Amino acid sequence: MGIEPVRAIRVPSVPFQGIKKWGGTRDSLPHTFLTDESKLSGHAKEIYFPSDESQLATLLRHLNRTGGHATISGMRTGVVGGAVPQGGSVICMENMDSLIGLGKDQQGYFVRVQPNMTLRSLQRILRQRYSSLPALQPGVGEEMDAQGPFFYPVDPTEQNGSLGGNVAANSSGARSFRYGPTRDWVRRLRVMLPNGDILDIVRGEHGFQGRECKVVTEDDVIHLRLPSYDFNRGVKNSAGLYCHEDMDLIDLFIGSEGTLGVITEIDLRLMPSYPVLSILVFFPDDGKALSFVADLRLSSSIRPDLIEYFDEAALGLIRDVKAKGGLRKLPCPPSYAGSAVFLDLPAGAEDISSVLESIRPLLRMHGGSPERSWCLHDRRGREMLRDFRHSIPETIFQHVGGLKGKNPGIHKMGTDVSVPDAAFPEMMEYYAQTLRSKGLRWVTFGHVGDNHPHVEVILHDMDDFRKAKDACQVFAHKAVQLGGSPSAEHGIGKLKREYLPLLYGSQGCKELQALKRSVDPNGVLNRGNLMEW
Amino acid sequence: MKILVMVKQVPDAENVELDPQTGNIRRDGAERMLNPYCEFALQAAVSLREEGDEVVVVTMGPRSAEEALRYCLERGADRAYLLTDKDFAGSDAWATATVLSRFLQLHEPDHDIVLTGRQAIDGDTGQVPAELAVISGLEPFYHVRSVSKQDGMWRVTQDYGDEVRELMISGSCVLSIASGSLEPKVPSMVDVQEAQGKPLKVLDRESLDLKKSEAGLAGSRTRVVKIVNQVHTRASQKLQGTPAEMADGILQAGGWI
Repeated sequence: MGIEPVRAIRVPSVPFQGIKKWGGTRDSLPHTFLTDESKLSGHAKEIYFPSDESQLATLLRHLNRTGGHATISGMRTGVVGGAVPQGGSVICMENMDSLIGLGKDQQGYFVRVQPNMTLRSLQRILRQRYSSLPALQPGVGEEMDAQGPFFYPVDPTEQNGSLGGNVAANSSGARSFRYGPTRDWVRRLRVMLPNGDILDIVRGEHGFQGRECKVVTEDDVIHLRLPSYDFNRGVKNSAGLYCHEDMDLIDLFIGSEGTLGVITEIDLRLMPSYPVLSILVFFPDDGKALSFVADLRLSSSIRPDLIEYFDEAALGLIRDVKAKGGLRKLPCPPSYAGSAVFLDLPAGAEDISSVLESIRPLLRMHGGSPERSWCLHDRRGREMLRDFRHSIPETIFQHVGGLKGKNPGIHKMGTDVSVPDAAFPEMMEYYAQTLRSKGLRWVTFGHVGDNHPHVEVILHDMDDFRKAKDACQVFAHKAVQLGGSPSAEHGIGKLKREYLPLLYGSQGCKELQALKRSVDPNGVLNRGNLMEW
Repeated sequence: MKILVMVKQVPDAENVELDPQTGNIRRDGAERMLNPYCEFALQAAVSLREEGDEVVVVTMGPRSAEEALRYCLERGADRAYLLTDKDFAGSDAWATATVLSRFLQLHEPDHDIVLTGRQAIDGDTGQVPAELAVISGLEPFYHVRSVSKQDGMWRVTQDYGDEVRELMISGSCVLSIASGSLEPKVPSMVDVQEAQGKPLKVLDRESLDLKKSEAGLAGSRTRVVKIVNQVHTRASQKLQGTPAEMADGILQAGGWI
């Protein structure tokens, strides 16, 4: 990788009056722009809707000049308050949501998008005829038609999230078990620095020498110095800035939660799709499901793309919603189901039977059976199972949203903890003991393959909320003590800032702040994310 | 008892592309699914089945329509037929009904009832059930919500929206099923595995003893001359003022005053 200074590109300013804007008085702004899925509430003076890089650059320069600051807002599906403004302005990226084109390099095909395209839109696009889509090089669409279909393997459960948000938070999902997080699939980024200049970074072309890197802008030289900590890469982790010696410059911006720049273009790598069997297997109780998972992870012959978990309480939550007439398009968990494990297994049409056979003995060993399962391999059916999985966090978000009227300060309280393999049973036991001792109810579901299930407390009032908050803090401590991450995929945002000192100490946090100030001396971007400004 | 279910594979409704020149659905490369109304027909057939009964699914279509048949086999059907031949391409409702009717006559003449979906969501004619019945000498019943067996007859509920009729029908007939459960029937691993081994027979034009002139474009009585996709545009108007003034504005905009 090059050790030459990286040169930023100057983007011309345009008339400020041409930028779409709402507000001026605080009360007139729709609340939807002042919150996100964390249900944290913020405030702002105005919302800007830039439609291109020039308008965005004009805005950032204006903010630098006038002492202002802005929170970048995409689809606001984050759960740690990253898009919730704490004063200043909101820059909403919703007008930058287009497909730019399909492309190809030596490593394969990729798609270039604007940051506010949603994951769902990308999935839809990838099901179309590629030759009908814009191409970055002539003939790419036709080539892809001949070799396709292709897919983007990273699958954060929230399909309505923006891809810019995914990159900013280094999102992962169920399939990260096999394919890793967003970071592993980003080929190139265009990032606008707080001064309005653009960095165009292709992976592999610009890196740090040790922990140093120089960025030359039109009127300045920015010396980037990475903090001295090493980011924990041994577990699923999205806590704080990614950082290690000699790393690629692009990785600094992935997962930086919009604190260092605004993403304006993303290249995401694609891979050829293949047939998959989605299977939900039911077990009599939680212990049997978890022992099945433990053995499955050791298996050399069964290689799932994902392993997800539903405990008894999570299945109960779905049953409750269905009994009240909700989730009508989803099937009801059978009455015998005491827990469930969700797997995606690669399987061509010709080997469905052998794949299903391969898993039978393990199932039976842990109290499951092939009769007590759901098995789907058409796209719609598989999406339905994903919706089934997603109905749990959605139900919890709605439940907490409904409590806000009487408890304005309340927001959802759940874990996003991952730990190393060996520590997983201890962590699970610790969750149950702690929550039981506080008299709280909870559900456990999600990415058990990465030792990263979500434990969500079912809140009723502020008393529950306070107890749950205490519990989440001790979970974070425990996770760090066990060599894990207190924020495996949701990021830090504004709600989990206290976890960073746990991980990096006060020295690491100071170095992180120093890096932020070297790029954004006026604190123009995303104040309050990762660190206090 | 032998229950026949006529199904169709259609382009996935979420990803339909229209040919801007002809207005027709582009089928090349499009993802496919079982027509949702045919899924209701399958549900009705499976719920009708008792011990010893047999549910047979049939489709006319390209080779890829086998996926739709496997889908049905995983959800309770026992056997399947794929009627496929290049000479079937371009069949209208009449030609389709002719092929299906000949199949019934030659291959499953001892059926007890024939179920179809109300219409296919791609062609949208809704004519095949009636035409199949007419050509086969059976009686068609539309708007069927449910069917059960009672005293050796079919007890059928027809839902006309403003009116619900209960019928008792004797003998085989064609029921066009209009509604069913939206909650999906989810197969188990065993269902999927067993479906792999269930019989699926492929028949071509000759095995149905059809002349070239009876099927496909040649056997069709209708030609779609033109399809125009209607685009409805709406103009919005912002009303301001007191509630009374805005109410007047609504009345004026609607042409009522």
